[in-house]
Amino acid sequence: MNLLREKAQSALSYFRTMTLFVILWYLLSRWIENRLLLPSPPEVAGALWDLLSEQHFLLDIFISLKRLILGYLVAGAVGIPLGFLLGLSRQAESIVSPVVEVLRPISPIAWIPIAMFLFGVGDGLAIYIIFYGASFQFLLNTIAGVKSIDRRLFEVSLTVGANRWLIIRDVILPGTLPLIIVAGRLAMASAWMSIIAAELVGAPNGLGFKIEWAHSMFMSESIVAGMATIGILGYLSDLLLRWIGRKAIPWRKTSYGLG
Amino acid sequence: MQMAVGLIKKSWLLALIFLFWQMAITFGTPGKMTPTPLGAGKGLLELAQTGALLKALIISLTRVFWGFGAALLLGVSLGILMGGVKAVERWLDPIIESLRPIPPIAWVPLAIIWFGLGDTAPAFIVALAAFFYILINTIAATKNVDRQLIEAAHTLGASRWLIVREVIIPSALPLILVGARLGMGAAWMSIIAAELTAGSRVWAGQLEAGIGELMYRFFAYEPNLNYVVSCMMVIGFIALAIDGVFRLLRRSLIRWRP
Repeated sequence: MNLLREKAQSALSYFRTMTLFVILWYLLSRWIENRLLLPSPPEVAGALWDLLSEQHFLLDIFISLKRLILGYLVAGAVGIPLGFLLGLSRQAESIVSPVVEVLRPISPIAWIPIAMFLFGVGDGLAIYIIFYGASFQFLLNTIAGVKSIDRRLFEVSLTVGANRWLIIRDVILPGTLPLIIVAGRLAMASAWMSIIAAELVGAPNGLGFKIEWAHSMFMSESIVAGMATIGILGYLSDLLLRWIGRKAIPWRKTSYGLG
Repeated sequence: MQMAVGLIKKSWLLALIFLFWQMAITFGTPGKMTPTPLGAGKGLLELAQTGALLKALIISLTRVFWGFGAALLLGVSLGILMGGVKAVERWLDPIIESLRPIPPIAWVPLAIIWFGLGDTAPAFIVALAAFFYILINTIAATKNVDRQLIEAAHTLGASRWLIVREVIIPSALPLILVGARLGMGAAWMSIIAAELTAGSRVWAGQLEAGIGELMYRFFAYEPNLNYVVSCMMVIGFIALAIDGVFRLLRRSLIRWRP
């Protein structure tokens, strides 16, 4: 019962602040009186409504999400197993780690020109950039996760007579899981940044493209409407990952990572 | 000798990849534009010689400096306020949490409309990117400060300002520095992104060009992919240097914590 009251209270304070914010925004936009510089809330709402009822925009959303999910899943499929390998095998780590350390400081966005040369414009480019950024998050955090497992747990399970498969299933996997979840959320944040950047510069469709298109048409209200859409989708994706995290790690009461 | 052997053992895979890359280009049949390691290395020297690289780096780093500085100032003060006073947090948190999911790069079109094409727009994006990291970590850091220390200082008659300066800030410093380091990493990434996306417009007007815009130029206007890779190497190197500076900073500022 107390939990419900808490949620109601936070919802109330959310509405309170956002209402104040919208009012201040409205007043400011009336004072500035320049649609290009600061579109008013009703204008943005109108633009959002127009966009949402337009089929093209929904297609853009779908395309962006498709690229995001593909890049993200491939990054996980590559980063997590590799992370396990590097975390468990000192030898593998010493071989691969210099390559990783050289590539890591180069942000995924710096790859856009080269990726455009390799993949052309559109899906390939976007998915590659997303994959690049997200895979590093998966890789590095999985390695950290594996290394964070208390070594004594290994020894104990060996003493009890567990074979390698059992150790992997009951010690390594659960021990690494919290940091993999953290990796998942960080990778998602990185993926969103990558997709928007990639689409702003190198795609004929998608959400990033839509914002840039609105920019070239000097339709600020559509720009803001697009930004709001991105923000909402980003928030929802993080919510989803947090939910998955809670389901995957039911034995942990404390929240990991970004809270 | 020992060091050389160690270095070779560490980087043989890297060297192999470079070799393979160079060989594939030299003996394969790529397009004329394909970048090679040798080409990129040569490009690095050429760019450094003409001074274009240095000029672009100075411009980019200046923008990062201003953006990060603003984010630090705003982020730390707001963070301490929000971490210390519950009411402030309750009022501001919804708007912060609503703006945070929007990737800083999504702000670029709006920033260009607001600030035009120049130093302010990229600096603004940098400030946005760094601000959220700094804010969140400062809030957490402030909340973590031991209550007893604050109460003790209060009992001894310290003014609120003195408490902030002598108790809260030193206790919160480690986590604030973590936020600053994360923010700086995000800042450097964002400046490249902002300059890259603004690149198409900047060269139309021949304005001041940071390294992101330089990279865009060598991709779109005077295509030279070797130069692009050279820029990528510089970007990566600066990122490492920044991280190193922060680690040094941490060691010198937090001498009482192991």
